[in-house]
Amino acid sequence: MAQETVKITINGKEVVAPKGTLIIEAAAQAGVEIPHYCYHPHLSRPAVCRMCLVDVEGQRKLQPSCSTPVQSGQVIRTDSPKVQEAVREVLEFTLINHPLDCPVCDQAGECGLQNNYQDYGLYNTKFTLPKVHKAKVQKIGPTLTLDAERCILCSRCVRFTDEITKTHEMGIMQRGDHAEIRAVKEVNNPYSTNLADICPVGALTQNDFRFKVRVWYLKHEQSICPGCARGCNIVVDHYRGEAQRMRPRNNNAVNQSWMCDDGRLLYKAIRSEDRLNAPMLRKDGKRLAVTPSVAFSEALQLLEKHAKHTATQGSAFVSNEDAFALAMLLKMMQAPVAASLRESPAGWDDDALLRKADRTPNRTGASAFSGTEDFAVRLKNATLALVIQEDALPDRSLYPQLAGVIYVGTHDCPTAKAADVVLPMAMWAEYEGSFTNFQGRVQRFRPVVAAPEGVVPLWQLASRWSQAFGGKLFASAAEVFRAMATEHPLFAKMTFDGLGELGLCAPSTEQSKEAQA
Amino acid sequence: MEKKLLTKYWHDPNHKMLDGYLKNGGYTAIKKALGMEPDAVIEEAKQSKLRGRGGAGFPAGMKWSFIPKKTDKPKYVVCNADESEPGTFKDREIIHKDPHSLIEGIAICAWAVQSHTAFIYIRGEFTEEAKMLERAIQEAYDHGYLGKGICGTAFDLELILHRGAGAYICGEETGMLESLEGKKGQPRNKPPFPATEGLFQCPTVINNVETLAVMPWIVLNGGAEYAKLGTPDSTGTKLVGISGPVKRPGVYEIEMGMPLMTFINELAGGMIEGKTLGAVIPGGSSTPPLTPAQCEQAKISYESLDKLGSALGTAGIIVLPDDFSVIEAMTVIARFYADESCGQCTPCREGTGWLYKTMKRIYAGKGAAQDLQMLSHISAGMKGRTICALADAAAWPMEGFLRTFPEAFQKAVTPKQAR
Repeated sequence: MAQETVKITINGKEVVAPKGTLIIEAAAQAGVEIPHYCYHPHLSRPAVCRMCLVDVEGQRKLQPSCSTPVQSGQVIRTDSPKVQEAVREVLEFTLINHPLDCPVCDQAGECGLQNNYQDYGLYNTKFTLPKVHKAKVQKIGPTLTLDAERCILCSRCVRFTDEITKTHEMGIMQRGDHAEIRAVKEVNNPYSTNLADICPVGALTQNDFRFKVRVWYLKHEQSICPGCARGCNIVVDHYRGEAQRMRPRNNNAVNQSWMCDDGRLLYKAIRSEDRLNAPMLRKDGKRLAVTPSVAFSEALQLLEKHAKHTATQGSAFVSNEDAFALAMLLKMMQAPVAASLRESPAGWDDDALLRKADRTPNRTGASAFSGTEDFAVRLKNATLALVIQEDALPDRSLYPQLAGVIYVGTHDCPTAKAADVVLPMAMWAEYEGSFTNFQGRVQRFRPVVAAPEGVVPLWQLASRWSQAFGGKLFASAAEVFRAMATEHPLFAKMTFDGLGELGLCAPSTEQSKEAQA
Repeated sequence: MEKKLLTKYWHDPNHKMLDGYLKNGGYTAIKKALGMEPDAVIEEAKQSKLRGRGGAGFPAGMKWSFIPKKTDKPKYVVCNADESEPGTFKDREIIHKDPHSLIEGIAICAWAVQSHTAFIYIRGEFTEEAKMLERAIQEAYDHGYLGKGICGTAFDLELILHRGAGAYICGEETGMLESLEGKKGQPRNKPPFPATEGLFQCPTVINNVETLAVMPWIVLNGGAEYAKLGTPDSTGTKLVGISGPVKRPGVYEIEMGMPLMTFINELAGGMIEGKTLGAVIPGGSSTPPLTPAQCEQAKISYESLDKLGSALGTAGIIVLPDDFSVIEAMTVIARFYADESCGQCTPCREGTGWLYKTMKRIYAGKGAAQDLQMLSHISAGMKGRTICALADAAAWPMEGFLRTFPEAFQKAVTPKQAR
């Protein structure tokens, strides 16, 4: 059924918007930005900040565009002197009791007050009276610090904890200009850090990121959180080659505007101490660092020798392209069975908001190119074990017939320690590829930081090995994707670039069936 | 002078008890109403052209007619007894002297809109009044005027008294609904209006005590009869409270349209010895003051006071003598609104505090000439930009005082040695 639309006029420009759209949203779609603080697309709309007032023809008073739906024939102005004056004056009210401590405030650079002041204000303060003082630097939970003085009482945090997490930690105490945001109990829910994102000012800041780097130095890259099967859309902020912070990115089909606290810290694994940075060979019970080409050839020799007797442990932590290239390699090797996948590490159960019990980011995609036979069973008849990412073979002595173990992964583990050849591979933040989330949505992640020298993604290793068996050498992730899209219906009719910012669902997947119904 | 419809039996000390009320013809109006079609009762209310007595003056019958006839939801009647506008004390008098007429009025309203649950939201500071109402409600329950099958009909009506906790903003009807629901008293965005989504998101009529208390008279005598009184735009009678240095302060019921000075001089007995009229705040502290010259032209009606740039409001007249301190009075008013702003909307939360702090500085003799421009600037910035009218209610007297007493302000910001 086609959605009913209405025609309105914004600043003299005719705009068509779906019926029921709020003016602020219709304006945004038409490229007219309306300043606001309390409005958030995924929260209720109290219309209290009064920044988004617009002039609706026929209405005596200015209307809050965040809570006024469009109506056919409405003539709206956001640029009239009356509106501009209102915005300036409301902003002035917002600022009078604000401490204006931008030089020492960590929000500086991404602050709603600063931005609007640049756009609309630019006046000197007329307020020459003592400001209201409130509680500062409150550690309100493991992840957040609250400065009530900087708060502009937009109530987003209150609504988030009431409406999204339903944990009700935040509240506004007192009234009038003594109204003060407070945590009524410790803010310790799995989504608490979203409060720092939605806080338009420096009142709520994230302990993990506070004072790490000034935000104007940050560069940004779009990515996908690898923390669970949800695949929250994120932005990774990085500075001087190091990821500094992960933030959710809006995708209504997947994570709205949120992500969980655990996901947010996953960037730390990129530079963790147990990261595998260089290839290694095991000689006489000792591990020796070698050049990538030596390790590569060493592994290739093993693969060639044991091609038909190789048991492969695949992984749901690697990209679609990785899983596909691995499958292609095994096919060329004429290995008897496809790679198998392991169960997700335990951690949490599915919750009502985002988190999935499956902690792997790409089970749906990796399953498409994997078998179902258990790796441990396969090992009994194998002479070579190829282990991808998983700690699947910590005790080699159980399989005395094994002539060799190759480990390809990102971090050190008992399996890697026991392997004959260890090849480090690039992590999600270091190359480009795609994950398929639990809904069947194929989403792209992009390189944020450089991989350790000589370290490449799995698909490159697999593709180069496969060349030795007469397979095709892929030049790019896009090329792998193209081949993959012809092989499996999960990626039917998709192209790598066509995935866009929000990803795509194949027509056969549940989500797109739901959408059609 | 006085025109006693509502206050006819107030001299009778027994009138506040059920026995006395019945002897004086009480609870005959609800019986009459129950014999009429609900719509016919609404029609009477409409014909009376009675404007809501809470301060905004919205036609009461019209409000009733907005309640949807066909709905699966329960409907509610809420009586607003959160009388807290400074200078206003008329509802208190009704509760003291005539609580049953209020209960009867509520029953009439409930029948008209077919509601079976009504609330009286009474301001927290009214402790005695709450007890009085509680007693009157119990009497009405005991004698079948409330509860299951009222007055022997099949119509049920529960009436619940709910005490506020002392917030001016809970007199704003949607702030009151929030408070009644157990939340912080903060006004709601409108639309939706309470008539469609009010208490617990159900259709709700909200009327002031005086509006409801006069309903028995209207039902008994007919709306048309009521509309004959007063002026075309301000029909009927009005309870007017007067305070300040007059000889007989108190509450009087008058026909709308009475000249203000007649009211002050004759009913209230004029100024006490040695005091001269300086200014009049005609309708509670939110309404701008009138100069003595304006008072001469003013009539007690919505339209007359509107024309003079003020408002009838709650008709709580505050008389100020000519030697009153303009600055002190305004500081007190500004303090009130700064204290009572709920703090939701930015212009009100920040503006009321800014006005008060500025006034306090001027009152302390530390003001400067630019403070006067600031006061106008702040007031202008607050008006019409918030969810409810509290910001306007704080800005109007500020602008009114600046307009009416420019010399006093000028003098207050001039350094002493320069005077």
